[in-house]
Amino acid sequence: MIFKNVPHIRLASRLKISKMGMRAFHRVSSFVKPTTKMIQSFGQEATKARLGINEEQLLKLLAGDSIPVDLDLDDGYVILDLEKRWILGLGLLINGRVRSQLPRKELRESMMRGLSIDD
Amino acid sequence: MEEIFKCYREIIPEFGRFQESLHKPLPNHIRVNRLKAETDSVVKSMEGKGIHLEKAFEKHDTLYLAPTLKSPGNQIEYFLGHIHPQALTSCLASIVLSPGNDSYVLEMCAAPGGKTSHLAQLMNNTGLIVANELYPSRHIPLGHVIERLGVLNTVITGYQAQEFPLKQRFDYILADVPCSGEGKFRKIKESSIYNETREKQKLPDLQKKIILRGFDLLKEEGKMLYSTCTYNPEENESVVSFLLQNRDAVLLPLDAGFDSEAGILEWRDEKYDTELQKTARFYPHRINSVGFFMARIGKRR
Repeated sequence: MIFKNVPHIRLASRLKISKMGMRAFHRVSSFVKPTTKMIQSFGQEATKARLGINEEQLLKLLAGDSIPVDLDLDDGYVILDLEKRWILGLGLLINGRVRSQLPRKELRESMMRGLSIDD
Repeated sequence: MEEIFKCYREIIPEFGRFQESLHKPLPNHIRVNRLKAETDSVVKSMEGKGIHLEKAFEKHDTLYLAPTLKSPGNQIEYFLGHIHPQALTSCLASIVLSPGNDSYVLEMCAAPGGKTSHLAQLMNNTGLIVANELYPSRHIPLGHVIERLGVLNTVITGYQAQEFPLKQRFDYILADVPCSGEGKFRKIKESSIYNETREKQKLPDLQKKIILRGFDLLKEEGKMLYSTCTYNPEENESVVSFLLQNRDAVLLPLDAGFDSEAGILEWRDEKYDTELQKTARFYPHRINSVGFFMARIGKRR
């Protein structure tokens, strides 16, 4: 969880809390995977493992295809940056190809219609 | 034309225009989430897709009317948490409460989270918001909204609002209570009928308990906002009047920056203190949004 450390939290700790802050990681078998929401909020600060993609590549990823990339990176999660404009979430790099780890129900192909990315 | 809410003919100004407004669909308003995006870039991006946006509020550059936008949830800006669809009057509640940075805030009935996330935005993600919601099933959408919009200063609790523990006091409290929701009603189809149910008749009792508990949870210099989206005086002025009779509460001036009517002083057999004129009623034919009621409350000093 990511949560701002504020003095009030000592008071709130006397309450029965069901959830706090933003979930930062999921456990996927023996791996730890950052959440899409955490990456969207903080991915801009990342200095490596960022992959710039264009709209065409994104549509391929959303269709379930993998895209080839030429990055000097170890296999693992990469941050997907649409046209250096929007941090979308994560992809998974394996053997020079990236697959989408974006939430399918939340990011749909129909959302891409009418995007004017060159503006 | 069929008269809808005809019992309010005497208290709603321009009643004919009010009724006409109920035959129009609810307008789409969006709020730009400044926690994750700059207003100019969001507006430019959406207008670039042919979505017409009209600034809804001169004083706040984050609120827009999007008359042609059919499904805000199908925009990439929604996925990214840059926008949130929210009724204008619902946004006004957070704006009128106006919590400062580093405040300790309680939202007594928080789901689905539009107001919670707006409070976080107004507080620049500082301080702490306790977003209370009784029903566990509503914690899920509440949590999703909070995470999508990048809110980092909020915890969720699940108490009955009227029994929220008196262990601490808050700087600001938002009591946007369960209500009959008359303000959201639109007669779009012939079949649209506003139903009065037995459950709704129980609401004033619950609302009175919640407003008392909210007041008891306020710090000496704290501020509370009581709000509903109904026209019913029994859920509005009567509830606030009950608070004034039972606690050392005062009503504070309220300027939402929009066309509103002062609270009424008489309803059926009940007469209210003239203080109730400091409350505000918002009507759809005046503000092009959901009908709403607000009272800004402080402690007598």
